[in-house]
Amino acid sequence: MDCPEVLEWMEAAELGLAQDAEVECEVARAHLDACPACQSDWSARRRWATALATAITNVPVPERLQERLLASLPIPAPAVLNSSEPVTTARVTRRQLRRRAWLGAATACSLLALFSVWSGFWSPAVRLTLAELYPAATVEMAELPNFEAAFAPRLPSSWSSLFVFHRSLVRGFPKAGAIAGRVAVVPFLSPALEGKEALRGRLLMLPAEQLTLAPGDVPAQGIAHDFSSAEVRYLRTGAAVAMWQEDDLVFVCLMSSGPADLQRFQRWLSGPRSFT
Amino acid sequence: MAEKTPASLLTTLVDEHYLLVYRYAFRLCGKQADAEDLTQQTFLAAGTHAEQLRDQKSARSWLCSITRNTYLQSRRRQDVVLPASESIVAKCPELPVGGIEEQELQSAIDELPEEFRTTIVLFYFRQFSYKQIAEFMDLPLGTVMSRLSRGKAWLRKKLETVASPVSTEQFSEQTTP
Repeated sequence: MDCPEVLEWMEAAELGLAQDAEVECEVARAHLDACPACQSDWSARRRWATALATAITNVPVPERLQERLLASLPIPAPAVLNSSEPVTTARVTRRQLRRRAWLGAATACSLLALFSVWSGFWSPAVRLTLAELYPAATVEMAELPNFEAAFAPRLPSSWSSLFVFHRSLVRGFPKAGAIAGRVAVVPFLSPALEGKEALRGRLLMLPAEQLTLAPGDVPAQGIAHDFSSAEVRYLRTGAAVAMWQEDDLVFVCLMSSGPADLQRFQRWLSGPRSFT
Repeated sequence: MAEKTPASLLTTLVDEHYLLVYRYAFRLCGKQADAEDLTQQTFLAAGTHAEQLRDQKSARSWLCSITRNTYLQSRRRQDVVLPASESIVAKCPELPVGGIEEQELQSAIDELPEEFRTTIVLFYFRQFSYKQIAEFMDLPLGTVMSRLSRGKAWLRKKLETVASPVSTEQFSEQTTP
Protein backbone atom coordinates (compact mmCIF):
# COMPACT_ATOMS: atom_id res chain seq x y z
CA MET A 1 0.00 0.00 0.00
CA ASP A 2 1.53 3.33 -1.03
CA CYS A 3 1.02 6.75 0.52
CA PRO A 4 -1.92 7.89 -1.67
CA GLU A 5 -3.72 4.62 -1.01
CA VAL A 6 -3.10 4.91 2.71
CA LEU A 7 -4.67 8.35 2.78
CA GLU A 8 -7.61 7.12 0.72
CA TRP A 9 -8.30 4.32 3.17
CA MET A 10 -7.89 6.67 6.11
CA GLU A 11 -10.36 9.06 4.59
CA ALA A 12 -12.83 6.26 3.94
CA ALA A 13 -12.48 5.12 7.54
CA GLU A 14 -12.91 8.69 8.76
CA LEU A 15 -16.21 8.95 6.89
CA GLY A 16 -17.35 5.51 8.03
CA LEU A 17 -17.11 3.95 4.60
CA ALA A 18 -14.69 1.17 5.30
CA GLN A 19 -16.63 -1.19 7.52
CA ASP A 20 -16.15 -3.88 4.93
CA ALA A 21 -12.39 -3.28 4.72
CA GLU A 22 -11.03 -3.64 8.23
CA VAL A 23 -7.79 -5.25 7.10
CA GLU A 24 -7.00 -2.49 4.64
CA CYS A 25 -7.75 0.13 7.27
CA GLU A 26 -5.45 -1.52 9.78
CA VAL A 27 -2.63 -1.63 7.25
CA ALA A 28 -3.28 2.01 6.38
CA ARG A 29 -3.24 3.08 10.02
CA ALA A 30 0.02 1.25 10.65
CA HIS A 31 1.54 2.98 7.64
CA LEU A 32 0.28 6.36 8.78
CA ASP A 33 1.77 5.88 12.23
CA ALA A 34 5.15 5.26 10.68
CA CYS A 35 5.18 7.68 7.74
CA PRO A 36 6.00 11.36 8.38
CA ALA A 37 4.87 12.37 4.86
CA CYS A 38 1.43 10.89 5.34
CA GLN A 39 1.18 12.34 8.83
CA SER A 40 1.90 15.83 7.54
CA ASP A 41 -0.86 15.53 4.95
CA TRP A 42 -3.42 13.72 7.00
CA SER A 43 -4.76 16.58 9.12
CA ALA A 44 -5.52 18.69 6.04
CA ARG A 45 -6.97 15.69 4.21
CA ARG A 46 -9.20 14.97 7.15
CA ARG A 47 -10.59 18.51 7.20
CA TRP A 48 -11.21 18.38 3.45
CA ALA A 49 -12.94 15.03 3.76
CA THR A 50 -15.42 16.27 6.32
CA ALA A 51 -15.99 19.57 4.54
CA LEU A 52 -16.51 17.95 1.14
CA ALA A 53 -18.79 15.27 2.51
CA THR A 54 -20.92 17.93 4.14
CA ALA A 55 -20.93 20.22 1.13
CA ILE A 56 -21.59 17.58 -1.52
CA THR A 57 -24.45 16.06 0.43
CA ASN A 58 -25.98 19.44 1.05
CA VAL A 59 -28.32 19.54 -1.94
CA PRO A 60 -31.52 21.44 -1.29
CA VAL A 61 -34.48 19.34 -2.34
CA PRO A 62 -37.28 21.16 -4.19
CA GLU A 63 -40.50 21.56 -2.32
CA ARG A 64 -43.03 18.77 -2.76
CA LEU A 65 -40.65 16.74 -4.89
CA GLN A 66 -41.78 13.50 -3.30
CA GLU A 67 -45.39 14.40 -3.93
CA ARG A 68 -44.69 15.18 -7.57
CA LEU A 69 -42.76 11.98 -8.04
CA LEU A 70 -45.50 9.90 -6.54
CA ALA A 71 -48.02 11.64 -8.73
CA SER A 72 -46.07 10.73 -11.82
CA LEU A 73 -45.49 7.11 -10.92
CA PRO A 74 -46.73 4.23 -13.00
CA ILE A 75 -49.39 3.30 -10.56
CA PRO A 76 -51.81 1.21 -12.55
CA ALA A 77 -55.31 2.43 -12.94
CA PRO A 78 -57.41 0.07 -10.82
CA ALA A 79 -60.07 -0.30 -13.49
CA VAL A 80 -57.50 -1.82 -15.78
CA LEU A 81 -55.41 -3.91 -13.47
CA ASN A 82 -58.19 -5.25 -11.36
CA SER A 83 -60.38 -6.02 -14.27
CA SER A 84 -61.54 -9.61 -14.32
CA GLU A 85 -62.86 -9.20 -17.81
CA PRO A 86 -61.08 -11.66 -20.08
CA VAL A 87 -58.94 -10.02 -22.69
CA THR A 88 -58.71 -11.71 -26.02
CA THR A 89 -55.39 -11.97 -27.75
CA ALA A 90 -56.93 -10.31 -30.75
CA ARG A 91 -57.20 -7.09 -28.79
CA VAL A 92 -54.29 -7.23 -26.46
CA THR A 93 -52.71 -9.86 -24.29
CA ARG A 94 -53.05 -9.64 -20.55
CA ARG A 95 -49.34 -9.06 -20.29
CA GLN A 96 -49.55 -6.28 -22.83
CA LEU A 97 -52.47 -4.80 -21.04
CA ARG A 98 -50.64 -4.86 -17.78
CA ARG A 99 -47.55 -3.42 -19.34
CA ARG A 100 -49.55 -0.84 -21.15
CA ALA A 101 -51.31 0.14 -17.99
CA TRP A 102 -47.99 0.49 -16.26
CA LEU A 103 -46.42 2.52 -18.95
CA GLY A 104 -49.52 4.50 -19.55
CA ALA A 105 -49.82 5.36 -15.97
CA ALA A 106 -46.20 6.33 -16.05
CA THR A 107 -47.19 9.33 -18.00
CA ALA A 108 -46.68 12.06 -15.54
CA CYS A 109 -50.02 13.72 -15.66
CA SER A 110 -52.03 15.41 -13.00
CA LEU A 111 -55.54 16.67 -12.70
CA LEU A 112 -57.25 18.49 -9.95
CA ALA A 113 -60.39 16.59 -9.07
CA LEU A 114 -62.76 19.40 -8.59
CA PHE A 115 -65.57 18.03 -6.58
CA SER A 116 -67.79 20.98 -6.76
CA VAL A 117 -68.29 24.07 -8.77
CA TRP A 118 -69.27 27.00 -6.73
CA SER A 119 -72.13 28.63 -8.48
CA GLY A 120 -71.18 32.01 -7.17
CA PHE A 121 -67.63 31.62 -8.37
CA TRP A 122 -68.36 31.54 -12.01
CA SER A 123 -68.22 34.75 -13.91
CA PRO A 124 -68.26 35.31 -17.64
CA ALA A 125 -64.92 34.06 -18.93
CA VAL A 126 -62.72 35.68 -21.53
CA ARG A 127 -63.14 34.03 -24.89
CA LEU A 128 -60.02 32.57 -26.39
CA THR A 129 -58.84 31.59 -29.81
CA LEU A 130 -56.96 28.36 -30.38
CA ALA A 131 -53.78 30.27 -31.23
CA GLU A 132 -53.92 32.04 -27.89
CA LEU A 133 -53.50 28.67 -26.20
CA TYR A 134 -50.28 27.73 -27.98
CA PRO A 135 -47.91 29.47 -25.55
CA ALA A 136 -49.05 26.94 -22.96
CA ALA A 137 -46.76 24.42 -24.69
CA THR A 138 -43.69 26.08 -23.28
CA VAL A 139 -44.84 28.04 -20.27
CA GLU A 140 -43.05 27.08 -17.07
CA MET A 141 -45.50 25.01 -15.06
CA ALA A 142 -44.03 26.27 -11.82
CA GLU A 143 -44.98 29.81 -12.81
CA LEU A 144 -48.63 28.94 -13.23
CA PRO A 145 -51.03 29.23 -10.34
CA ASN A 146 -52.98 26.23 -9.16
CA PHE A 147 -56.08 25.81 -11.21
CA GLU A 148 -59.14 27.24 -9.55
CA ALA A 149 -62.51 25.60 -9.63
CA ALA A 150 -63.98 27.65 -12.44
CA PHE A 151 -65.19 24.44 -14.06
CA ALA A 152 -64.72 20.76 -13.46
CA PRO A 153 -62.10 19.40 -15.80
CA ARG A 154 -61.95 15.72 -16.56
CA LEU A 155 -59.79 13.40 -18.54
CA PRO A 156 -60.41 12.73 -22.17
CA SER A 157 -62.17 9.40 -22.53
CA SER A 158 -59.26 7.58 -24.13
CA TRP A 159 -56.83 8.79 -21.49
CA SER A 160 -58.76 7.92 -18.37
CA SER A 161 -57.74 4.29 -18.11
CA LEU A 162 -54.07 5.02 -18.65
CA PHE A 163 -53.40 8.11 -16.63
CA VAL A 164 -53.15 8.81 -12.98
CA PHE A 165 -53.90 12.32 -11.88
CA HIS A 166 -52.89 14.25 -8.93
CA ARG A 167 -54.58 17.36 -7.81
CA SER A 168 -51.46 19.13 -6.66
CA LEU A 169 -50.02 19.22 -10.16
CA VAL A 170 -52.92 20.83 -11.93
CA ARG A 171 -52.08 24.36 -12.83
CA GLY A 172 -53.98 26.77 -14.90
CA PHE A 173 -54.77 30.09 -16.36
CA PRO A 174 -55.61 32.95 -16.27
CA LYS A 175 -52.15 34.32 -15.74
CA ALA A 176 -51.18 37.91 -16.23
CA GLY A 177 -49.25 38.42 -19.43
CA ALA A 178 -50.17 34.97 -20.70
CA ILE A 179 -53.54 33.37 -21.33
CA ALA A 180 -56.45 35.37 -20.03
CA GLY A 181 -59.16 32.70 -20.02
CA ARG A 182 -59.83 29.90 -17.58
CA VAL A 183 -57.84 26.93 -18.75
CA ALA A 184 -56.67 23.91 -16.78
CA VAL A 185 -53.25 22.58 -17.70
CA VAL A 186 -51.59 19.31 -16.84
CA PRO A 187 -48.14 18.25 -17.94
CA PHE A 188 -47.62 14.71 -19.06
CA LEU A 189 -44.65 12.52 -19.69
CA SER A 190 -44.98 9.36 -21.68
CA PRO A 191 -42.79 6.31 -21.35
CA ALA A 192 -40.29 5.64 -24.11
CA LEU A 193 -42.38 4.79 -27.15
CA GLU A 194 -41.38 2.79 -30.16
CA GLY A 195 -37.82 2.63 -28.94
CA LYS A 196 -37.47 6.39 -28.77
CA GLU A 197 -37.28 8.87 -25.95
CA ALA A 198 -40.15 9.64 -23.62
CA LEU A 199 -42.47 12.38 -24.81
CA ARG A 200 -43.51 15.45 -22.92
CA GLY A 201 -46.53 17.54 -23.51
CA ARG A 202 -49.32 19.57 -22.04
CA LEU A 203 -52.99 18.77 -21.94
CA LEU A 204 -55.26 21.79 -21.78
CA MET A 205 -58.91 21.69 -20.82
CA LEU A 206 -61.43 24.45 -21.19
CA PRO A 207 -65.16 24.80 -21.59
CA ALA A 208 -66.19 24.74 -25.23
CA GLU A 209 -68.13 27.93 -24.80
CA GLN A 210 -64.93 29.75 -23.98
CA LEU A 211 -63.23 28.94 -27.27
CA THR A 212 -63.72 30.92 -30.44
CA LEU A 213 -62.59 28.89 -33.40
CA ALA A 214 -61.39 30.55 -36.57
CA PRO A 215 -62.37 28.86 -39.85
CA GLY A 216 -58.83 27.54 -40.26
CA ASP A 217 -58.90 25.92 -36.82
CA VAL A 218 -61.55 23.41 -37.79
CA PRO A 219 -60.55 20.54 -40.07
CA ALA A 220 -62.67 19.86 -43.15
CA GLN A 221 -64.30 16.90 -41.46
CA GLY A 222 -65.26 19.01 -38.45
CA ILE A 223 -64.09 19.00 -34.88
CA ALA A 224 -62.92 15.61 -33.67
CA HIS A 225 -64.72 14.03 -30.76
CA ASP A 226 -61.87 11.96 -29.45
CA PHE A 227 -58.11 12.18 -29.32
CA SER A 228 -57.52 9.34 -31.74
CA SER A 229 -59.25 11.16 -34.58
CA ALA A 230 -57.99 14.64 -33.75
CA GLU A 231 -55.92 16.22 -36.48
CA VAL A 232 -52.31 16.86 -35.52
CA ARG A 233 -51.12 20.22 -36.73
CA TYR A 234 -47.71 21.71 -37.03
CA LEU A 235 -47.09 25.09 -35.41
CA ARG A 236 -44.58 27.66 -36.58
CA THR A 237 -42.68 27.25 -33.36
CA GLY A 238 -41.99 23.62 -34.26
CA ALA A 239 -44.52 22.42 -31.72
CA ALA A 240 -47.63 20.44 -32.55
CA VAL A 241 -51.23 20.65 -31.48
CA ALA A 242 -54.26 18.40 -31.51
CA MET A 243 -57.69 19.68 -30.52
CA TRP A 244 -60.92 17.84 -29.95
CA GLN A 245 -64.14 18.21 -28.05
CA GLU A 246 -65.85 15.80 -25.71
CA ASP A 247 -69.25 17.00 -24.55
CA ASP A 248 -68.84 20.42 -22.97
CA LEU A 249 -65.05 20.43 -22.80
CA VAL A 250 -62.44 21.14 -25.41
CA PHE A 251 -59.13 19.36 -25.02
CA VAL A 252 -55.94 20.67 -26.52
CA CYS A 253 -52.84 18.52 -26.54
CA LEU A 254 -49.62 20.43 -27.14
CA MET A 255 -46.24 18.88 -27.73
CA SER A 256 -43.28 21.14 -28.26
CA SER A 257 -41.16 18.38 -29.82
CA GLY A 258 -43.30 18.40 -32.95
CA PRO A 259 -46.02 16.63 -34.88
CA ALA A 260 -44.19 13.35 -35.40
CA ASP A 261 -43.96 12.88 -31.66
CA LEU A 262 -47.54 13.92 -31.09
CA GLN A 263 -48.70 11.44 -33.70
CA ARG A 264 -46.61 8.74 -32.07
CA PHE A 265 -48.22 9.57 -28.75
CA GLN A 266 -51.64 9.57 -30.38
CA ARG A 267 -51.01 6.15 -31.94
CA TRP A 268 -49.91 4.79 -28.61
CA LEU A 269 -52.99 6.06 -26.84
CA SER A 270 -55.35 5.00 -29.54
CA GLY A 271 -54.84 1.29 -29.66
CA PRO A 272 -52.82 -1.74 -28.69
CA ARG A 273 -51.10 -1.96 -32.06
CA SER A 274 -49.20 1.24 -31.48
CA PHE A 275 -47.93 0.08 -28.16
CA THR A 276 -45.32 -2.32 -29.46
CA MET B 1 -44.15 -11.70 4.09
CA ALA B 2 -46.41 -11.08 1.15
CA GLU B 3 -44.67 -9.90 -1.97
CA LYS B 4 -45.24 -6.26 -2.76
CA THR B 5 -47.24 -5.27 -5.75
CA PRO B 6 -45.29 -3.31 -8.34
CA ALA B 7 -47.18 -0.16 -7.41
CA SER B 8 -46.48 -0.45 -3.70
CA LEU B 9 -42.88 -1.41 -4.38
CA LEU B 10 -42.43 1.68 -6.44
CA THR B 11 -44.06 3.88 -3.85
CA THR B 12 -41.70 2.42 -1.26
CA LEU B 13 -38.72 3.04 -3.50
CA VAL B 14 -39.69 6.68 -3.90
CA ASP B 15 -40.36 7.13 -0.21
CA GLU B 16 -37.06 5.61 0.83
CA HIS B 17 -34.70 6.73 -1.90
CA TYR B 18 -35.93 9.84 -3.64
CA LEU B 19 -33.63 12.09 -1.64
CA LEU B 20 -30.56 10.08 -2.57
CA VAL B 21 -31.59 9.83 -6.20
CA TYR B 22 -32.39 13.52 -6.47
CA ARG B 23 -29.16 14.58 -4.80
CA TYR B 24 -27.12 12.29 -6.98
CA ALA B 25 -29.00 13.54 -10.04
CA PHE B 26 -28.36 17.12 -8.99
CA ARG B 27 -24.66 16.54 -8.62
CA LEU B 28 -24.58 14.88 -12.01
CA CYS B 29 -26.60 17.57 -13.82
CA GLY B 30 -25.84 20.62 -11.77
CA LYS B 31 -29.32 22.05 -12.29
CA GLN B 32 -32.45 21.65 -10.25
CA ALA B 33 -34.85 21.24 -13.16
CA ASP B 34 -32.63 18.70 -14.91
CA ALA B 35 -32.11 16.83 -11.68
CA GLU B 36 -35.83 16.65 -11.06
CA ASP B 37 -36.40 15.35 -14.58
CA LEU B 38 -33.67 12.81 -14.15
CA THR B 39 -35.11 11.71 -10.83
CA GLN B 40 -38.50 11.29 -12.40
CA GLN B 41 -37.06 9.34 -15.31
CA THR B 42 -35.24 7.14 -12.85
CA PHE B 43 -38.37 6.15 -11.01
CA LEU B 44 -40.34 5.74 -14.21
CA ALA B 45 -37.68 3.36 -15.47
CA ALA B 46 -37.66 1.63 -12.10
CA GLY B 47 -41.39 1.10 -12.46
CA THR B 48 -41.01 -0.30 -15.94
CA HIS B 49 -38.25 -2.69 -14.93
CA ALA B 50 -39.31 -3.43 -11.38
CA GLU B 51 -38.85 -7.14 -11.95
CA GLN B 52 -35.10 -6.57 -12.25
CA LEU B 53 -34.86 -5.65 -8.60
CA ARG B 54 -34.44 -9.04 -7.00
CA ASP B 55 -33.32 -7.84 -3.61
CA GLN B 56 -34.56 -4.63 -2.09
CA LYS B 57 -31.31 -4.29 -0.17
CA SER B 58 -29.66 -3.40 -3.44
CA ALA B 59 -32.31 -0.83 -4.32
CA ARG B 60 -30.00 2.10 -3.65
CA SER B 61 -27.33 1.05 -6.08
CA TRP B 62 -29.93 -0.17 -8.58
CA LEU B 63 -31.63 3.22 -8.59
CA CYS B 64 -28.34 5.09 -8.78
CA SER B 65 -27.36 2.88 -11.64
CA ILE B 66 -30.56 3.77 -13.49
CA THR B 67 -29.96 7.43 -12.76
CA ARG B 68 -26.45 7.21 -14.10
CA ASN B 69 -27.39 5.32 -17.24
CA THR B 70 -30.23 7.70 -17.97
CA TYR B 71 -27.92 10.63 -17.48
CA LEU B 72 -25.22 9.14 -19.68
CA GLN B 73 -27.71 8.49 -22.45
CA SER B 74 -28.80 12.09 -22.47
CA ARG B 75 -25.54 13.96 -22.14
CA ARG B 76 -23.70 15.32 -25.09
CA ARG B 77 -20.87 17.36 -23.74
CA GLN B 78 -17.21 16.58 -23.76
CA ASP B 79 -15.65 16.24 -20.36
CA VAL B 80 -12.31 17.72 -19.50
CA VAL B 81 -9.40 15.40 -19.10
CA LEU B 82 -7.98 15.16 -15.62
CA PRO B 83 -4.26 15.46 -15.26
CA ALA B 84 -2.35 12.25 -14.86
CA SER B 85 -2.18 11.06 -11.30
CA GLU B 86 1.53 11.73 -10.94
CA SER B 87 1.06 15.43 -11.44
CA ILE B 88 -1.66 15.87 -8.89
CA VAL B 89 -0.55 13.71 -6.01
CA ALA B 90 0.92 16.69 -4.32
CA LYS B 91 0.71 17.95 -0.81
CA CYS B 92 -2.84 18.41 0.25
CA PRO B 93 -3.75 22.11 0.28
CA GLU B 94 -5.35 23.68 3.30
CA LEU B 95 -9.11 23.97 3.39
CA PRO B 96 -10.17 27.54 2.51
CA VAL B 97 -10.88 29.60 5.59
CA GLY B 98 -14.35 30.46 4.40
CA GLY B 99 -15.19 26.82 3.73
CA ILE B 100 -16.59 25.48 0.47
CA GLU B 101 -18.99 27.60 -1.52
CA GLU B 102 -21.85 25.68 -3.12
CA GLN B 103 -21.62 27.38 -6.48
CA GLU B 104 -17.90 26.81 -6.74
CA LEU B 105 -18.29 23.24 -5.61
CA GLN B 106 -20.90 22.41 -8.22
CA SER B 107 -18.95 24.21 -10.88
CA ALA B 108 -15.88 22.12 -9.99
CA ILE B 109 -17.95 18.92 -9.94
CA ASP B 110 -19.41 19.80 -13.32
CA GLU B 111 -15.94 19.95 -14.78
CA LEU B 112 -15.06 16.47 -13.65
CA PRO B 113 -15.42 13.67 -16.17
CA GLU B 114 -18.56 11.71 -15.33
CA GLU B 115 -16.77 8.59 -14.19
CA PHE B 116 -14.86 10.66 -11.65
CA ARG B 117 -17.93 12.68 -10.72
CA THR B 118 -20.03 9.65 -9.96
CA THR B 119 -17.28 8.00 -7.95
CA ILE B 120 -16.70 11.09 -5.87
CA VAL B 121 -20.33 11.97 -5.34
CA LEU B 122 -21.22 8.45 -4.26
CA PHE B 123 -18.23 8.37 -1.97
CA TYR B 124 -19.05 11.64 -0.22
CA PHE B 125 -22.71 10.78 0.06
CA ARG B 126 -21.50 8.17 2.52
CA GLN B 127 -24.03 5.67 1.28
CA PHE B 128 -21.59 3.34 -0.44
CA SER B 129 -18.29 1.87 0.68
CA TYR B 130 -15.28 1.71 -1.63
CA LYS B 131 -16.11 -1.86 -2.41
CA GLN B 132 -19.75 -1.07 -3.12
CA ILE B 133 -18.73 1.78 -5.42
CA ALA B 134 -16.43 -0.61 -7.23
CA GLU B 135 -19.31 -3.04 -7.68
CA PHE B 136 -21.62 -0.25 -8.76
CA MET B 137 -19.15 1.02 -11.34
CA ASP B 138 -18.21 -2.52 -12.30
CA LEU B 139 -14.56 -1.68 -11.85
CA PRO B 140 -11.69 -3.14 -9.88
CA LEU B 141 -11.26 -1.62 -6.44
CA GLY B 142 -7.85 -0.23 -7.41
CA THR B 143 -9.35 1.70 -10.32
CA VAL B 144 -11.99 3.20 -8.08
CA MET B 145 -9.39 4.23 -5.53
CA SER B 146 -7.26 5.74 -8.24
CA ARG B 147 -10.21 7.71 -9.60
CA LEU B 148 -11.13 8.88 -6.15
CA SER B 149 -7.61 9.90 -5.38
CA ARG B 150 -7.20 11.84 -8.61
CA GLY B 151 -10.68 13.32 -8.56
CA LYS B 152 -10.47 14.46 -4.98
CA ALA B 153 -7.04 15.96 -5.47
CA TRP B 154 -8.30 17.83 -8.50
CA LEU B 155 -11.35 19.02 -6.58
CA ARG B 156 -9.28 20.22 -3.63
CA LYS B 157 -6.94 22.04 -5.93
CA LYS B 158 -9.79 23.64 -7.82
CA LEU B 159 -11.63 24.76 -4.72
CA GLU B 160 -8.48 25.98 -3.08
CA THR B 161 -7.62 28.06 -6.14
CA VAL B 162 -11.07 29.56 -6.37
CA ALA B 163 -11.08 30.42 -2.72
CA SER B 164 -7.68 32.11 -2.79
CA PRO B 165 -8.05 35.51 -1.17
CA VAL B 166 -7.95 38.56 -3.38
CA SER B 167 -4.77 40.56 -2.92
CA THR B 168 -4.92 43.94 -1.26
CA GLU B 169 -4.03 45.70 -4.50
CA GLN B 170 -6.77 43.95 -6.42
CA PHE B 171 -9.23 44.67 -3.67
CA SER B 172 -8.39 48.41 -3.64
CA GLU B 173 -8.68 48.59 -7.39
CA GLN B 174 -12.06 46.92 -7.38
CA THR B 175 -13.52 49.10 -4.69
CA THR B 176 -12.13 52.48 -5.65
CA PRO B 177 -14.85 54.53 -7.34
